[in-house]
Amino acid sequence: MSIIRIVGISLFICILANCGSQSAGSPLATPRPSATVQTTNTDATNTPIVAADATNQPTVVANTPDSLASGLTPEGYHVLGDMAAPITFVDYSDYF
Amino acid sequence: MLEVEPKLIDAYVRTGKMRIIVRPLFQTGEDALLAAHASECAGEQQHYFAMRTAIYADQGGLYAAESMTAGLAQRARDIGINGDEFDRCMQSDKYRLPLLTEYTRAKDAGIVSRPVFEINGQRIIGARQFTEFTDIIDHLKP
Repeated sequence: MSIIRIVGISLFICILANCGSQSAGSPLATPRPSATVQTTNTDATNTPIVAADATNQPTVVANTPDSLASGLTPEGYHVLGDMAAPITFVDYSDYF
Repeated sequence: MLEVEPKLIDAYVRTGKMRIIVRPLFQTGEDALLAAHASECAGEQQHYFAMRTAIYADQGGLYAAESMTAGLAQRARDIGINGDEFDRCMQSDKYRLPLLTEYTRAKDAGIVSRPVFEINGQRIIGARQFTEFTDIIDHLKP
């Protein structure tokens, strides 16, 4: 009887240990919520003036005085007009 | 660009053929930097281009003002920007370093004078008449 009891206890312990390892590290573990994607740039000389949208898509707003679309390029530069326009006019300019 | 840009906007931006990207370039000192900072602060309230237009429209008045900061704050309020938020943004000075860094980037890219334009990558140095731009742009159109 004692041998059967020992085998039974060992089997019970073995089952418990197996269940523990599965819940700790297997893909069945509950996934974490999706982390917020952030655009980071470690190159100090390449820092955009305004943080680009995390999805790398232009942020479009329509609040200019004449209601033209405006927003930011993925690089963080201000842009006026249709983001899909075939011609891109870049203005390097200064005030005064 | 004060006179040419509105024509370009009417002819090409409003019709969906072109978009204008602004990259600030500083060669005229602290006042220009303040104006650019003000534009960025206005941009936080989706009024970047309205502020830019307001500054260009009254460059003389701003430059002659006793306080550039006060003048910019007034222009911001004139175009409907939340003044308190704008003032906080200006006081933070948070765009100064990025703007100065942008100037360094532009210089590294060979942009050493102003104004400079790029139309689909074709670089144009110096101011141009509207018709000179149209000659280039119309040639690019499909």
